[in-house]
Amino acid sequence: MASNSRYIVGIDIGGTFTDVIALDIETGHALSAKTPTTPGRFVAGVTNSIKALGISLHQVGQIIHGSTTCTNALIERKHAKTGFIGTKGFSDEFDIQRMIRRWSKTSWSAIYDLHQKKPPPFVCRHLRRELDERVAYPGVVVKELDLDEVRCKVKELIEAGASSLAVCLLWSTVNSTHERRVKALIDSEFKDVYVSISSEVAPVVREYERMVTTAVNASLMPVMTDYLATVEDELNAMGFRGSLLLMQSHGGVAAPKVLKERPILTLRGGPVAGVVATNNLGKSLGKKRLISCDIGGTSCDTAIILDHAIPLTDETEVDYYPVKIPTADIRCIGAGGGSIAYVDAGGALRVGPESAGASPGPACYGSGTQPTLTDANLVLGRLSADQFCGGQIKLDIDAARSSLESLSRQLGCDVTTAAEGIVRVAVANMAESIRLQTIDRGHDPRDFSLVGFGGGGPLHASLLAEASSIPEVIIPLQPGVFSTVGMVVAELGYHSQTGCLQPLASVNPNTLESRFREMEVAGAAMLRASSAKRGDIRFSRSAAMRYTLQEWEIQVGIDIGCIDHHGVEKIKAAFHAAHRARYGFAREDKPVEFVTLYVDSSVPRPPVRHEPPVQGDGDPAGAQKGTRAVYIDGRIGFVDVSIYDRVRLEAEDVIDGPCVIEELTSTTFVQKGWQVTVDAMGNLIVRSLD
Amino acid sequence: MVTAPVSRWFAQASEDFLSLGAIPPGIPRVDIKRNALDPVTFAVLGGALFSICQEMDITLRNTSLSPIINIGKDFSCAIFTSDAQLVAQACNCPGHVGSMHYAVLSCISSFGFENLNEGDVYMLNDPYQGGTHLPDITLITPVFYKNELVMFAGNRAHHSDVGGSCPGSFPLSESIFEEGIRIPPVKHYDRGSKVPSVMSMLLANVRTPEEVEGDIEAQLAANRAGARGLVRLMDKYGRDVVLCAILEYMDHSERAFRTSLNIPEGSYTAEDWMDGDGNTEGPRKIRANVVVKGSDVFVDFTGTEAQARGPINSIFPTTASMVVAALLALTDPTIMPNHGFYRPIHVKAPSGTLVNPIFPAPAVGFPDVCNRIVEVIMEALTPVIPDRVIASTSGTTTNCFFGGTNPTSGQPYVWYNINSQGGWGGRSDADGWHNVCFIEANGWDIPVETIEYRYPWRVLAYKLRDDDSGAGKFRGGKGNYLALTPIGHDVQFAINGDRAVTLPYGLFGGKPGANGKCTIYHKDGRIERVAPKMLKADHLVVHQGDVLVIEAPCGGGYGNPLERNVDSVRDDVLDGMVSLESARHDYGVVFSDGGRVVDFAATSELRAQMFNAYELRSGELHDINRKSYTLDDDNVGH
Amino acid sequence: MQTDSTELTLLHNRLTSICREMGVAMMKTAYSPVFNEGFDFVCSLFDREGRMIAQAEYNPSMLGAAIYTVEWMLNEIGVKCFRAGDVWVHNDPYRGGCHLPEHMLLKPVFQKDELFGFAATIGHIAEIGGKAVGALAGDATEIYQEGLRLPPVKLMDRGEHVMDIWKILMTNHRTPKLTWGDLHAMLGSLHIGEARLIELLEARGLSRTLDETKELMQRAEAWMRREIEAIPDGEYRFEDWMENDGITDEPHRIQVAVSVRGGEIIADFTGTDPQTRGPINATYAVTAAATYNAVFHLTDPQVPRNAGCYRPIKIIAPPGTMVNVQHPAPEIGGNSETHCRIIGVVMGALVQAVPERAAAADGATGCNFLFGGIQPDTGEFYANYHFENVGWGAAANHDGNDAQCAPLAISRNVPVEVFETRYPILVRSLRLLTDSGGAGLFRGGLGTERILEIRAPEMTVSALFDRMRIPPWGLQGGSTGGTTSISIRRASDSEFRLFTDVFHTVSPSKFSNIIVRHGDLIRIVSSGGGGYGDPFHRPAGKVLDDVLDRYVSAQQARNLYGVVLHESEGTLSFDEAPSRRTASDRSAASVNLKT
Repeated sequence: MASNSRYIVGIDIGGTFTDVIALDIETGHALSAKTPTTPGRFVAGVTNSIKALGISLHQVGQIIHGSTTCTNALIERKHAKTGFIGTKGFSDEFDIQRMIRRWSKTSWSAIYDLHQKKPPPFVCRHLRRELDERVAYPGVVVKELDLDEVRCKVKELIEAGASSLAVCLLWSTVNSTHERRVKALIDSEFKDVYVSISSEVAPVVREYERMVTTAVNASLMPVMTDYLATVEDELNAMGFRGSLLLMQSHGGVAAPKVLKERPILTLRGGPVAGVVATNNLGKSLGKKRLISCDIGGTSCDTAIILDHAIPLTDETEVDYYPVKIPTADIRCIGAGGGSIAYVDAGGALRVGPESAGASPGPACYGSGTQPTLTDANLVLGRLSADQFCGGQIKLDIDAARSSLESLSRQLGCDVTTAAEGIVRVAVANMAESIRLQTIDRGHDPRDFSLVGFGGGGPLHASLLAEASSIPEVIIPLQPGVFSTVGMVVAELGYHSQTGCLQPLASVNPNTLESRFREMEVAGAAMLRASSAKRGDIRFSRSAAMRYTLQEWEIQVGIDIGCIDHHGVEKIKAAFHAAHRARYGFAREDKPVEFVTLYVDSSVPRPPVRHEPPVQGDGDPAGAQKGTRAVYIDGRIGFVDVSIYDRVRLEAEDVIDGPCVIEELTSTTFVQKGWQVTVDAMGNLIVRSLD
Repeated sequence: MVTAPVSRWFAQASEDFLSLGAIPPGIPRVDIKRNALDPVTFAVLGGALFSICQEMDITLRNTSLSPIINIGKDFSCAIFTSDAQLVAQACNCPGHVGSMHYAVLSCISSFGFENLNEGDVYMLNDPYQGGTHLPDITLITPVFYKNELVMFAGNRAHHSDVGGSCPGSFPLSESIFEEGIRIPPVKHYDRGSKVPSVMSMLLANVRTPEEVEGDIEAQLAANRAGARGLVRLMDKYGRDVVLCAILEYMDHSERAFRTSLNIPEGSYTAEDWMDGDGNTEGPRKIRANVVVKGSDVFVDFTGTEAQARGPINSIFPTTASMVVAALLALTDPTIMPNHGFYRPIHVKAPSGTLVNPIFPAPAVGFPDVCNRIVEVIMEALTPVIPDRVIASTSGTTTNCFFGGTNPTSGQPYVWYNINSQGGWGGRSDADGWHNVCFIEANGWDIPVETIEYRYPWRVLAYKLRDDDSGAGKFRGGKGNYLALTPIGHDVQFAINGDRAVTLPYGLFGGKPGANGKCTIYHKDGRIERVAPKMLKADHLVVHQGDVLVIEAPCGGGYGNPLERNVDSVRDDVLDGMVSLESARHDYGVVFSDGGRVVDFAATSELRAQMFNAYELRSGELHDINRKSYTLDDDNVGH
Repeated sequence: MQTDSTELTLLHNRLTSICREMGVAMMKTAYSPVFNEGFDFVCSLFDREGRMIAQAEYNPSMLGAAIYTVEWMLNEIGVKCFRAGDVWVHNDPYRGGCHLPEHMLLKPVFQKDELFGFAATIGHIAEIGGKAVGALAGDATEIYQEGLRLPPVKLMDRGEHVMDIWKILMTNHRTPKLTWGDLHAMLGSLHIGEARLIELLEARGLSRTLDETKELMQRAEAWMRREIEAIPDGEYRFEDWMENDGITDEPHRIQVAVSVRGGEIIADFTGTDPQTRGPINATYAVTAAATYNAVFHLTDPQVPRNAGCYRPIKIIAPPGTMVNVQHPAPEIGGNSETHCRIIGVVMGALVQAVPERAAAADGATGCNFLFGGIQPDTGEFYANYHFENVGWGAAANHDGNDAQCAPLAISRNVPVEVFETRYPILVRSLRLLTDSGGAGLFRGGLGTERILEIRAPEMTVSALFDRMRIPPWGLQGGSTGGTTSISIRRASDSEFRLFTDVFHTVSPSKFSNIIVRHGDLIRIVSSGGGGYGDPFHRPAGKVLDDVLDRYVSAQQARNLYGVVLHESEGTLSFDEAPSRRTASDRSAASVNLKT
């Protein structure tokens, strides 16, 4: 690659900060920076942060970023006015929303809460139209489509102000001709509206989820198109000749032209980067069992990584709106630096999910008054008042203390105890979240390493590991901007799925094989659109399966080359095994059926070389920059512990906890009974001594 | 050691107030070293106990076979102390959970505590021995830690069929014997090995043996998950710490309830009616007197009508559980319900009434009674907590059951349709929801594509009713309109609904919601309105080519429609939620330009007039608007 | 092998008396009238391959079915799984049973550790839960409505009660105490059967006894073949109707072609109507039992009743028809009503071959009347399964018997005094019904009329009758017997009316769960037998006696027998109507089998 485009730049735009990393693909050296976010002005953000890195735009070969544009547009309902076209008799499912009550403050209160607010229908009723057509399972046309009817319904919607149209007809998963004809008509006769059809966006059974997913995608198409247009134009204008790529929810990256059609694929583009980074770290360390733990200002995102594969799910929701596209299985709970602590009616201490966010922010930021996790850590001496964010923010410890006082009064204890309580409750919540992903799915946490990153990750990682009996913690280089690493290493990828509601017994192996082939061809096309070379593309197949009569599926990997009768038997066996592993029993004698088929197409990246840190002598003294009184636990209380400067640590250095290691983007707290070793790549490996 | 059969308790509640938190004598309690817990460990364990229940819930949902369980979520999971006190429950059906500890009691009393062994699993469904109604089969697993019975894990699921005189086991029965196979507390597993005869006997008596067998398998897996979770917890924190936390935790919920009850002391009474008992028409009264003394609540059902010959009887446990649900809903729903929470609640329900029937009264239709119990309690408290109560919800689950033989597979099937839910009442701060099950249950609807994949039926419409009803400052939600036709076969059909004559009432000037309806459009053109006076029927036949239309009741409105924000009314009209006529007559909003634009001048004028008219009979604005009406003919057959 | 035939006879008698002893024990210890008075049960012994080796003369319908029930149980359970002290219970019609109320208890009999065979009893449990009190719901549409269904399950495990099964039985039957009593009576009789059989085995030795029982079966078979050989070869057809199924009010046809080939009889029911929605369907076992029954009525009653005597008789019953019903159709009336009719058609066919043994149709219905409710004082359920006796058909050489249990069973009727002590019912009258016997050279037997007065605030009643419209046929010019009826006179009414009129039931003869109240009268009329031969040939003296005894009314004597009576000085005398002389011309006209 020409040296005038030696950098791959990853940019993660958060609420308060924009993190950026530039990877020199020749040296493998990574530069990183944190700059204040410039809301709504992406390119300004890019240029600022690239300036901050001290490189110039024309040296950049690729810019990858996890755009939150679509997510925000969705949460703030600032997406396009979208019309819906469905089968006659069913479009009210937008209001019905699967009937169940689940919009209360806590999951358990939902069944009793008379005042919980059901979200409004994603497409309001006057922007919905119905076609008098009907397809029945397994694909029979019961009532023919009338194109004139389509024409006038589309007109009505456009007159009513719709700029995007979503089309979802019953059973389009088994016979999509009607949907495709509707799309063809709209494309040819109404060129200036955007249209999504469910058989392309999310060909999965269960109409409501498919309806909404399609509508969400349609509503985001203009948003994404406009966004990318500006970004591309401005970047070009500034002399950027490289390629722009965006993160997708499942951890792959894709080119703008793909995402203009499928903006929905970017919804989890932000958080997924951290998981990709963790997975990449795992590959380079040869660790097959990792828990990625990204603790930011408002949330704690955790994911389980097994055998170097990013875990996927298709049960994702944004604001209760189901999004039926394969997405990294990231568990997000409201526990972060900004999480507010309070005492409930029964006198129990609770932390989160409400967060003070960026404003007013934690009490110690100066403007807030409610005690938060950050305030607690400050009071406990685990955070330094003047080193927070490399000193960009000065923390007010007195404000933190006073915010804790009322709380401690309610709890009948002193401020310190209250502060420690807050940390332990928050950590317990995080541990609970990890337990649900490990133990409850049959994984033993003692086999895992916890990778802690994000502003708060390094601070809580060893406590969290202790609470979840995880023996090892890894704090990567530049943990504060670790997610951006995920962007620069993410593979070019596309994830295709197709409905295949059919008993396994009646599946013809050849048909199954050819259906997978078709998806692979489609996937390859998408990747080539993102300028991939045919030969580099790898495919992996899987299927959502269940026992006949069950309603919930398990995703089973299919890695058996060309599928023949024998292969089908193997798939069946794999399903039984998966079911047993998850639920403790299998029904070997009962029929099994397919529900959805998946193909993951990707282009592996050339491995990233790392610049190893200076080899040290094992003595960290050189990196020590002083001591501070830090609270250890109820028994020991405060003690003076050494504070280290991470950038001055050398490979092989060993430090016993308790200690605090500070760096530009984050602070690492190592609890008593744990020991830190700096590995050859500069990661902090924190191990429990017992 | 012997404890009295649970029926003894039901009888006690007839004589005098029974504190729902009371523990029956005669059950040995495990001894626990009470040592003070720090608030943190306490908080941690609280979350852990709840998530154990959630894991049971997910296991049961994901592995079960019949839609009523794996989508409708008509099941419940919970854990109990060794003396049958509720510790925690998953987010399931209040009707199940509040009553499940009676199942645990029943197992203890019928086997004797000392005869409960590790590896046992008990099964029951008899309402008179700790069950709710026969379709709900309960599995109770004693949880042992270091060879000591320390807790119970239990779950209860509504099965697609348990035999009896019609498919779905929801007949208009006159005694429980017609409702299906009754299972007293029996051992499904005995010291770890399955009792084959019990199962084969059960399966021989149900129409859908494959589903029932698989669903019970799933229930087992759920209890296993629960037991596993509890043992894991005790391994980590120690037996005493966990058991202590549980006791603390009950006190905590009790405190939380008492502090957030916040209802002025006094005695409040209300009445409401069921439409017939399925056997004969005519209203059936449910009466509740709610007395608040300090932070204790006494609910007395004296004055409630004698138990019905038809199946609309709610046995004491379900009655009690709905009192719990109502009070939880009206105080702070975020309180974790457990036995401590029950302590301040006292119930009196005379034996031989709709709310505490005596064997062998039929009981399968209890859910609607449960819903009415909640409403009666809300009605009683309306004057004192006007913002916390809501206007009347459909108050029925409009259960429909279809039984036939799939023409293609030749297999008999039973389909329990739960998609026909009503609208909720308007609230002090928001409109009511459309098509959501009332408080007694809480499940997903069954996707049309799932229905058509599993059953030989075609769904012609699954949408909201277009009636104008439940007008109010905050509108009542709309009931559901479901149109179906069987494919290639004739079907046995039973329906168990309500609110066919008595209207879902409105509050503070809000209008009542529309009634429920069920109509068969026969292929010969005949239009048959099914049980128009009570919406309860069985042994009906829907023939190939007929179209069945089920319309669930709509919710009542809250507050004077004239106070409704004009923009909301305009949106309602745009969205077709409110007709132009209703906009004018109920809301006093006038439109111009063919209903697109609001004529504000005309509107304010009209509203002013209507207000004055209201003022004259302002009484109406401030109480319950239950304009119950008799069915007129033009009402029949649309 | 050669066995001394006196030895064999002794063994046969011994085995049979064991069965009788079992029966007596059952009768004496049972709780419910249908057992201890009604005898609605059987006791029999089987060898270890499930072949019946002996039985006592109790309910023949069950006897025939028992061989299928036992065969099924052995297959399902597996002969290796039996342990001494086990008792298995079973009532599933779709597993070789006859109908739900009939519970088979099966107990393996071991000598030392070797299995010899089984003692078995079948008993009609009066109340088994389900839609209608007393189980026989005349309008059931699925088996699930008819009561608690038991696949083979262990009631006793090596001498221990299997409590869970007992509990389920006790909770699902409306009258658990009676169930408990009756099942224990059955257990008791099994115990006796087992004990006696072991004594016998101790004395004779197990393998010898097995050999001898085989020999007994062969002899019985040979004997039965000889009996059949005596019937002229040929194919004989006959058909009759069930008048409705309780769901739709239309008749259903049962058709049979009985072919006699040497020593073998094949009854082929092909052509019988499809199974009905209502509960009048017969399982294969029922149809087979009925066929055996018919053949036994026409052959020497001395033939030893063991597996052997059934072998020469083959039954073809197409699946999905009324005579071989498929799951989950209702079947409860199949064994009480349809059974009689099947016997009737088979006999109707065979008598064409052996007119001298022919008899006209009997009443051929159980007149099953079910009632129950809650005892006001105890609050407990009571329920009773009541059936009536019927008139039998006249034969070639004698009048039909009056008021006798239909041929499907040999039950006694329940004495009024027992009846009234147990149930809140007053029996107003029980009498023979004049003129209900079909007129003929030989007169059909009379049916009965019973009037019941309800003495409880309310009571739930159900009925499963037939022969209400289609009367029992006569032979050789004999006229049809009287039909059945069940009717009610509400306390407020002045006359009896059909349930169709009062309660709008679909069928006048089959319905369930009707609530009747204090003071209501219920009138049950059972059918009479058909007549044999031209009534005009009946000696006028006999007619006169009949009139004097009020078997026949004066009008019928005139109209049907052509005997005109007139009274002078308190004595009756008669003229023969002129028409009697030309009777022979007419006789052909009234060879009347069915309407």
